[in-house]
Amino acid sequence: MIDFPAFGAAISLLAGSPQAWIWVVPGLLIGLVFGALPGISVSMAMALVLPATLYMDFLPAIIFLTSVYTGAGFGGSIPAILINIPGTSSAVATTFDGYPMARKGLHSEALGAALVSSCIGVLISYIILFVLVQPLAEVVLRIGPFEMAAIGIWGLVLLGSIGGSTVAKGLFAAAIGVLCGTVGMNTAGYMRGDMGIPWLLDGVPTIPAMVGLLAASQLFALVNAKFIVENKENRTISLRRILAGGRLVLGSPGTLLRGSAIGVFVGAVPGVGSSIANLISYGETRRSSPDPESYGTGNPRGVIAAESANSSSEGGSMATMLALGIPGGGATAILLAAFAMHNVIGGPRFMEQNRDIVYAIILSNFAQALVLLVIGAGFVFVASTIVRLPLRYLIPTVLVMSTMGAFAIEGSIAGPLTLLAFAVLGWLMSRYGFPVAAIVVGLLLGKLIETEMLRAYQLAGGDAVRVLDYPVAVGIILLMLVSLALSLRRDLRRRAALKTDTAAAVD
Amino acid sequence: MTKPIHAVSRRQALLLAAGAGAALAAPGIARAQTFPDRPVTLLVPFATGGYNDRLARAMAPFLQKQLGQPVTVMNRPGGGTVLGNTFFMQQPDDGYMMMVHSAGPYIPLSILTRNARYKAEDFHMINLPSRDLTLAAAATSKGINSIDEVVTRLKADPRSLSIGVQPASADLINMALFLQAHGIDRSRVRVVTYDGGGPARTATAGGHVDVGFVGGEGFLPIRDRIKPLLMFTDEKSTDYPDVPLLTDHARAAGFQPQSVDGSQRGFVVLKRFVDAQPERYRILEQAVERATKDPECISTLGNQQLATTWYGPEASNRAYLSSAAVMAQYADLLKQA
Amino acid sequence: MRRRVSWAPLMLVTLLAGVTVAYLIEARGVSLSPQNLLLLQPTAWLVLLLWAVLAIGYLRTPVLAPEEGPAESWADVGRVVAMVAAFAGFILVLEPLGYDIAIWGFTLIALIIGGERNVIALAIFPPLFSLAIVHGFRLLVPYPFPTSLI
Repeated sequence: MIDFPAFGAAISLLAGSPQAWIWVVPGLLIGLVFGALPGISVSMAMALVLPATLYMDFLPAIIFLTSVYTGAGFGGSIPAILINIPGTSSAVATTFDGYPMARKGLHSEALGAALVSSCIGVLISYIILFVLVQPLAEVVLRIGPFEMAAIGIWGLVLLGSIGGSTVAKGLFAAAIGVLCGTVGMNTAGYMRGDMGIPWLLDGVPTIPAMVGLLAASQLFALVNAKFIVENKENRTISLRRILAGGRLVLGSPGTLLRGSAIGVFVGAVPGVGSSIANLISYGETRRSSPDPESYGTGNPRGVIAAESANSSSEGGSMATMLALGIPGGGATAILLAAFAMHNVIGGPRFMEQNRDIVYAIILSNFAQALVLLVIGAGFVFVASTIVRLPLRYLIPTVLVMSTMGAFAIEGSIAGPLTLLAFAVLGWLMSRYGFPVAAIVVGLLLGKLIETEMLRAYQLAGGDAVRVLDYPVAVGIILLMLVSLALSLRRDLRRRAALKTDTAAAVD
Repeated sequence: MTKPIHAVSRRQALLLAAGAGAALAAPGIARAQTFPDRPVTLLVPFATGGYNDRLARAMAPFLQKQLGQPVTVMNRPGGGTVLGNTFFMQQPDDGYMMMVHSAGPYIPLSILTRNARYKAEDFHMINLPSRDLTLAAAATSKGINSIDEVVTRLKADPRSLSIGVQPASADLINMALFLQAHGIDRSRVRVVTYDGGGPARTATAGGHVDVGFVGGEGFLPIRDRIKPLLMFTDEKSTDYPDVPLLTDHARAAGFQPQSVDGSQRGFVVLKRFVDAQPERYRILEQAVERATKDPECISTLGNQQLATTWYGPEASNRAYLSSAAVMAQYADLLKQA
Repeated sequence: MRRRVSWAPLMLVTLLAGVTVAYLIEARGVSLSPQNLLLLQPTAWLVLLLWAVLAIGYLRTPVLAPEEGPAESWADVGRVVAMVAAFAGFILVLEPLGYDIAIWGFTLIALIIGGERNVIALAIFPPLFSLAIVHGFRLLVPYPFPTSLI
């Protein structure tokens, strides 16, 4: 399916335009910085640099923007690991194991693992894009409400009670999250729970709520600590250990490939994308692992699963954008706007007539992934100095930056107020042993599940049997049931074995 | 940010400006007038990447040329434009902010369905160059060839086809009027709701729903994947010249055609401002008119499939207010079945 | 085994269950259509069911004195509560006082709560940080935010 003449033309196109290349490094750096700032999302970073691209040629402009995209995609994982702040919703699952690793003093390893899995994720997704752009886009376009609802439910089942001390507490937290996710106007136009506040009509602002739940609540709990990493010897800033973290990724090819595959397909679905993909990938990795209990306490595979999925979403959403002209999210919407500014209309015709340019974009992204490896290593090396900062300075600094980030999303006080409400809720709940991560998962997936389930219900006309018309959805649900049954059986067996062991020990 | 950057010649310098938005940086044309003496903002009550956002960003350089001041774009999406409209109402009447807005139908719809506190008459249209119309379409893979086929199947069994539409939209009103005219019980049709034109189009093109009722312009990039069935208008559309029109369809079927316009997009200010600052308003109006008629602007925007027709304030306000009145008349159709 | 009532978590879950009931009543007031309540209503019932389970547990918490670990001192808890209160105050005065003053004040108070006693650091860091944040975000963010001094 590779069009070789166009491929050759793409290579000469790239080789012949050195000015296209000088934008890769600044683009990645801008992306990294913006991505690392809590609340500044990938699409915002791209919107900010968009005016500058107006005066570039088409190819350099697109390469610059996709460099920002790639950089910001990884940048979000840095605060996720170091201070438990998911800079974007696609880095939520990164916090689950990344932050515990940092607290244990394994911040360098976690950052290295995140970097390398991101780079490889981007690479894999663009390789898939390169070979299969058209079929990939077709598959993604076919994923409808039944399939999406099934994926969302799967995610909730996998992660619903994550990290709780008891199942009841985990479920309680997740259910509260789901309820928060239903606030506002739903897809059928019903408005509830908005308390007459106009901005709540769109639902609880997700990013401030997440940052409040995960980060601010955690920072409050750290008021009496001195440093994020308690042990002084572990507060190292070491390139060697970052690289060691990278090597961990190469030792877990299964996790990496699964994460990338989930990222490419789930992450590419218009409108849902990477924020769901990283959760599903994390949940699947945890479920299929021989020691699921180690997840959430600092298992590097958790970081690898999350990061490979969120970065490979980039290639997936580029596929729908290039092949169909449909923006999957804010970032690709801006890319399409940039196309338009250069009088290029994305979509099927563009793909057919400009295969060389499409290939050039893809090839330059291969290069971006490799350059990111170098630039990113330097960047996380500098960023990891955060562990040396005393918490009495770090706490107010991060709280203020999070507040400004929450403001920056829509430019209104709505963001900071949401941040405050959820910071207090998260602090209280985590104080009494409720897993805040489950609230976040509920919040993110609740919105998705309600929307998609409602559409499925409308499509079926209220007739549940109609589900059978959607074999893929049924397949996902069956797969979910089978895999749950298998893990349940394994758990029971292990528990039985544990019992006989202790019984034997007592004898 | 203080020094002006002559954009085309100095690419490197642009990177510095990039973080702050280089649209601010503009070669200014010295003018003797006092207004405007600082940058003018275009407020878009939608997220980046949509039609209004693209229109605002594309027009900005040409407005800049007319106003002699930098023109920046600010997005304030949310609440079906309630947030953007409310924010706009709170600004001082100094003329330093204009909206680029799908004023019709969003302003009246937000009043009818979201209890917004402003009135349709609070807003004044400078020019609404873009008129979008509801298009009924099906994915090519569905094999539905005509609107008559849709009607026949729905009449035989209202549950036989699913319809994708946005709740609280002009499209919904058109769909409801259409079904009513054919005596099809809307409450029995499988209506699937999408919170946005983009998702509704994706669902139509992807075949998640059998027929979609959505604004037609957004379908242009994926024109090959859909079979357009019916345009809700009485005059031929330049985008879809071969698609049957509602008037013809209604005549053949023997009912009175009734429909509302889809998005009417363009430049909007507050009525309050027009009354308080007539001279400043004249300057803005002239700038928009000259920019819209600028041949360079027409060709640039035309290439991006953005409209540059100059209807002027009188015609634009008339169209906007009449569509607001029609919306109010059909408000009960927007209520849930 | 001795048992006691854990008041604090009991109040928390009861508060959340109360909010849930209020939300459910409000949503049912909007419409009883399944298109409104499809996910909301079952989830609300689940919350109430889990509330019952948790509340019973909190009413009868077994007292396991030695295993509770090193208890937090009142001073520790006080500092955390003070930080939460300072943050809440910070958010609430952002608009009335302006972002610059709010950031300066919050940073100063948070540093003191965090245990910084160096007067020079207290005098220098908050204003500089406030200045940097306000200017930095003015560059980054297209939206205006109110400030008093800068």
